[in-house]
Amino acid sequence: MATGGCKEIHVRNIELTGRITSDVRCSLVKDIVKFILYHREQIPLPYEQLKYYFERQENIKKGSEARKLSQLLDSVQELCSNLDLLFQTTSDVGQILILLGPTIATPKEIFEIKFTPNPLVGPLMEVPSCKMCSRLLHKSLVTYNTLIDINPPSLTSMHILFHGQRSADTKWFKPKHNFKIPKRGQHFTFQIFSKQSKSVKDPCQPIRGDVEGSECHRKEQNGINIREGTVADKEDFLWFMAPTIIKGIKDSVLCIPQQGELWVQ
Amino acid sequence: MAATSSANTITLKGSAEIVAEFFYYGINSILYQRGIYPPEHFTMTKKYGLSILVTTDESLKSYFGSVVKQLEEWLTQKIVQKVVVVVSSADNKEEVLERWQFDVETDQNVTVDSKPKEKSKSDIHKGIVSVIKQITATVTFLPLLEVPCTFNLLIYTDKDLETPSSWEESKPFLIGNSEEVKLRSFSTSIHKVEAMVSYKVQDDD
Amino acid sequence: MVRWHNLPIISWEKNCACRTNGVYEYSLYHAPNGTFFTEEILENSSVSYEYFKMDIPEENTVVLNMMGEFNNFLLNKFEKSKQEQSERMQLGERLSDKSRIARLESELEGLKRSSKRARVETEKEQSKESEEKKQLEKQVEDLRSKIALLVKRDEKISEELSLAKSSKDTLRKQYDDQIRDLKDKKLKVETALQDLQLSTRSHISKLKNEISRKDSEQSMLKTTLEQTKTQLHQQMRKAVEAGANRRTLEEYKAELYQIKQTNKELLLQIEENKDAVSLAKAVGNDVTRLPQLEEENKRLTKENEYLRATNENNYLLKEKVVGLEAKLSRTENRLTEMARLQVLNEELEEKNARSEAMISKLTKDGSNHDSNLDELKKKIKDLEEKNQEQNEIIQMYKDQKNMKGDFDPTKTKVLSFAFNPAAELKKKKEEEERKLQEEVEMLRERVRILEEMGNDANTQEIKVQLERRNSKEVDDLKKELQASELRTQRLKEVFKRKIHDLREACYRLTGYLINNPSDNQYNLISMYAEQQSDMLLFRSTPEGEMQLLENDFSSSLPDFIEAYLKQQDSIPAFLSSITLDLFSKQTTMIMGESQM
Repeated sequence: MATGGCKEIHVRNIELTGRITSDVRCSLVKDIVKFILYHREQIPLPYEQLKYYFERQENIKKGSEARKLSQLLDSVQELCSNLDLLFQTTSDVGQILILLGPTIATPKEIFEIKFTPNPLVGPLMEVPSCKMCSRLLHKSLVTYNTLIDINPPSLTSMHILFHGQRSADTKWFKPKHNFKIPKRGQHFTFQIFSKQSKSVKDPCQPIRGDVEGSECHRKEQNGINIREGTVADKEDFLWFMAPTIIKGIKDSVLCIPQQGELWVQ
Repeated sequence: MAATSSANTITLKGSAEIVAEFFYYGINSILYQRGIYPPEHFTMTKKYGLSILVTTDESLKSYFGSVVKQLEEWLTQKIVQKVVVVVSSADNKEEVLERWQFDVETDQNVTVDSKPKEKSKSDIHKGIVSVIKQITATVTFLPLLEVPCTFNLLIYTDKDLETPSSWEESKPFLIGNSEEVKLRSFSTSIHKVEAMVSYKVQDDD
Repeated sequence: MVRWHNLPIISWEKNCACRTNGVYEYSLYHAPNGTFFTEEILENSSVSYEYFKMDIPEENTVVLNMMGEFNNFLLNKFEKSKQEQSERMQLGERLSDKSRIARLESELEGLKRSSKRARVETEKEQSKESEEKKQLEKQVEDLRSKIALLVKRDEKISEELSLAKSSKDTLRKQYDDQIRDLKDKKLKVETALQDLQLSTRSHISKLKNEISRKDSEQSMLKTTLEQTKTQLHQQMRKAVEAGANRRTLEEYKAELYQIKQTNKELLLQIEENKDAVSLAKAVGNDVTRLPQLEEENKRLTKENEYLRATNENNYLLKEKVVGLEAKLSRTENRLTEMARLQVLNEELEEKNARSEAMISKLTKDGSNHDSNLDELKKKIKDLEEKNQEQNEIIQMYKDQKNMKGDFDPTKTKVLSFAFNPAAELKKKKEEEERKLQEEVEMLRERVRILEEMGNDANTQEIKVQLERRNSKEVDDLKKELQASELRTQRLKEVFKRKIHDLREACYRLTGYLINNPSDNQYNLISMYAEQQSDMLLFRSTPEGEMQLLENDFSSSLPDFIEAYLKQQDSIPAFLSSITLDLFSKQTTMIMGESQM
């Protein structure tokens, strides 16, 4: 039971303040993807640094590994642009899943990203920027000792899924009707929630329990998409998977010049 | 004479050497990561299985030589309490922007002639590696240092130590209005080093 | 109807007849077996044969019959074919007509269609052209308006240009005036500078004269130095010899001392040996006594044991006695105490009765107190919890303070290396500031002087300023001069030393001391010269030759001159011969002296 069979779910709460817009959420998801790629040792340098070196053809050894790196950069770019589109068109993306493993049924590590709904909007609610939220996210993840203490898996593939409505308007992500979150593998959940300032009062009391109340609650939260339906139809949600798989690359793609070397091919 | 430490045991002197060495590489990493000196002033070395950048500036190298040597001596004397890297702006304001603090806890029962303690070198290196990796990762959330900066090293020692020549008592250079983040620690079973960083809260974005 | 026999005969051959009607050729062949056949070459050049048999009663009749029949046959055939032909031709004509009609009809339709198309196209073209025409008209209008604008702009610009030109002219005049002024100033400054340069040059030449003087003094001193040095060498040689003598003396002394020491030691040893001998004698005595002593030893140990055992018994008995005595005293004490306690008991019983009464009173109060106690206990718990919370908060604050870098000054002190980067940076900045301030001061001075100069060009003040500036230059020059003087001095010392060593070596190896009193003149004095004034004078010519000059000494060597200079033309041989001659003279003299 030493590898993979751990059923304990590690939860990390990441606290932000104010109303989190959907492009901030999208940017956080992209940050987490790049974070996991580097900190779970699927790429030898942080993503942006690797991309910088590749674009300038510095410190990259030519050959098959460079091609794999080019592929990885392209896949991540494609994923990012499609995530942008998804978050712009759909407002209900509440859950993202990142799996590290050979297939989505046999992952070695599972990362669940859960966004809790925004606190009720008030007139003085601040709207934090992508940069600020990214900083808070990184602060929380870099000091997450449980994650650091667990050994990262060997070089493997990354799969991304999101949980959305059946009628979600996405041409790129493919629906996976029978997919369920696997029970095997190390499971981490990142709960991203935001606190509001105490001065704002809650106008709609959801404790009321009647249909109107819940509707009102929902209306306030999902500012863009006001659903006509009454109760959340859980059966209407299913998992969609990104068609491109991001494959990790070895350290040997780098050739950093040693002391005294001016130039390395 | 105390037995020299092997791969699985550690003496007081050996531990002091390891910790002093860690400070040399760790502080160099901080100088590179925070851009206190430009990247051209650094060269890559392999240590602990990582690629770490250390300074090539001659005056800095000699500064480190003196300080690290003294630090090793004091660690052997078990009187080091903290090692602090103070990052301040290079203009006339001399404002303290960042403070990297390493708390040192020493087992007071160990002496130079004590029997070596059981601790494998690979475990110690693992601990050091995780600290240095985390220092590197802090770049993602520490506020940008937008002005040119300089740094200073402070060592908190026991009060009754005789201050050697070329060292002097100094202020602690605290930051007003700061945020603190606790980082990882490592232990040689004789010395325990806990890392933390505090930085000036900026009102941007 | 064509009659075959009327047709012209074109050939008549055996078994064959050919006739033609101009259109068709017919041949009649008579086959040997009695059959006849006609060959009809039709219009289309095909040939048809018809066979028919005939009786051959007689040749002529047959032939005539045959001819008649043949003619009829042919006529029939001809008519048929003609009819057919005409029918065919009519059909053909009809068909061709039909086809023609069809063709023409289709052509007609085609033409209609094409004409329609052409019409449509022309209409389209027309419309296009009209549109284009409209567009072009619009463009023309736009262009016209633009032209108008441009013309206006052009006018404006030309106005501005004229203004600019006028302003430029005025500015130019101003600048020219300024340039003239500055040139005048510059001339003045240059003349002053030249004066100063002259003065400095004269100064420099004076200093150089001094240097040359000093050099000549130095050379004189050097020659005296050399002489004293040679004396010194001689003295040193003597000293070395004396030293050697002293050393041998000291060695002898040391040897003597050592021998004395060994002597003493040997005497001591002799005495010790005597002592040892006496000791040995004593030991011998002891040895004889040894067995007796052993017996005594055994006896004594046995006695010792016996005595120890009795001692122990004594101790035990003493302890028992002490214990019993203690017991006795204790029991006596107990008895007295019992008596006392009984008294106390009576007293306490009285007290008890009194206190019971009190207790009953107190229990009544107690119930009140209990409830207070409970409250107090609750309060205590609450306070303890709050205390814990406070402690936790305090701990948190302490941790936070610790993370910020706070410390207890009674237990800790903060040290920093004096030559740290931050301090160095500060020093650098201060240096830079100081330098900048100095520069600023200097520049201010200059500006002040220039301003004053601007008002009245006073040569005195220019001189002051220039002097101030030049004094610095002069200081620099003086420093340079000093440095170069030092350098030349050192070089001279080195050269003099080298030259001296070389001359010394020459003297010792060749036997001649060569002096150079003036340019190209050389005096040679032999090591074995009989008197100091015996010197040979040589002069080197501009062509590079060496000439011997006449003097008293040279006139005493005519043979040598003759032999080696005039005949062999070798100065080294000449000199060597003189050396040998003088040397031989010296040794004979010495030998002569010693003999005497």
